[in-house]
Amino acid sequence: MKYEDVALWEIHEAFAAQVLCNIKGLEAPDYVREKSGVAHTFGRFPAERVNPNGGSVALGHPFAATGARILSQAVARARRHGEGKSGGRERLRGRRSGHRRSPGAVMAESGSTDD
Amino acid sequence: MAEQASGPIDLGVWGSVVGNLAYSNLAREIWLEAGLDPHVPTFTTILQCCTSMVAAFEAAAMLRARNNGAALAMVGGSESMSRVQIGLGANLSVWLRRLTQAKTAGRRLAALRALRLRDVRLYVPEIKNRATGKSMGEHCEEMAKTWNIGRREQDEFALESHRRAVAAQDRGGAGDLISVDGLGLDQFPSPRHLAREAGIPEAGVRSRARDDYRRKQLAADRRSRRTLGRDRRGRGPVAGQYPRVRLVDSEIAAVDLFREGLLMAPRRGDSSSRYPGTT
Repeated sequence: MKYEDVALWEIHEAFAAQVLCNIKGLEAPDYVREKSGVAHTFGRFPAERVNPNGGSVALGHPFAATGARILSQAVARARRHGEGKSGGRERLRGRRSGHRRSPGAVMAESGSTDD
Repeated sequence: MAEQASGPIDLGVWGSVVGNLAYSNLAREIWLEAGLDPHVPTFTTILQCCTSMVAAFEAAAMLRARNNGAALAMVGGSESMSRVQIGLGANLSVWLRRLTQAKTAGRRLAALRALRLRDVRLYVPEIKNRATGKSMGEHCEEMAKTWNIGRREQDEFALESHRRAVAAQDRGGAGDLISVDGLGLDQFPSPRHLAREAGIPEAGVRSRARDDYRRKQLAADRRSRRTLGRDRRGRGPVAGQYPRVRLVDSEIAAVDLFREGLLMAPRRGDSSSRYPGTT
């Protein structure tokens, strides 16, 4: 699987720097090997697919509600694609689907478990 | 409204990070205050920034297990950082409890005399992580230095986040979630101004602009409450609209916060939970 197989990445923006650090980590072969135990064969990270409708920096971060906001935002975008009408409807494109009926995998991440 | 759309709710999971002395189970209190069926199990969960996403995972697992025949769950989270409750320090709390439990005048007098000045302390919840002693902003500052992320790069990312939110709103893709106006890079406060204003390191993102957005978001929340469940044409929810997506997998992993800080997420989990058929 490649990073680009994931059509939509929703990543919590506790801080702008935090997202940028994490993306750099995902792009760094040594870091990926250290953290995941596997070689970095995931290709280019599609930063343009991260939070396409904005994230916590723009929308705010009420701690306990942010995860639901991120999940529902990802669901809403996947649903709009699932409705499947061309023209005016957004489309999620992934090179490979994690599910045979989905338009492309959607990954939502809501940040630190410690703060 | 959800019940009108999809039938009775069988389970409620709500998140809250900052606790309150008045209750221990926020979900239950909300449920009962709303006058909903008390037979429905409702519980509160907490895992910091992940809280309500974890609530969704918990609900999905319980739906999958058909806990008590559950087929529909309501999940969310609530937070009010501007109304954080201040409590008594541990020793002062013990002293006050002993005083109120004293049955006789003599014991009450003895309890009163037992108060030591150094025990008169209030407990004010801090933003700092208890284990590391650092705030999220301080941890992020260290991360930014480690990964060589500059201020301009951060501001550009923040601006893009705002632009995308505005564009989503213009497209109607954000529904009632947000209500924001355009913003230029030159409108971002300088790092020095940010640090002075917020009393946090440069990596912090709090700004007047963001506070302004938050105010507008709250106004949008009020509007959305009035129109909850209605589409852009004002139509109410339609039975059979749900479910809309399928949750096929979820995973929670933790990092060594002492070495990596609080916010460095990438890590391979040791296990994962799959939810075949969970919608």
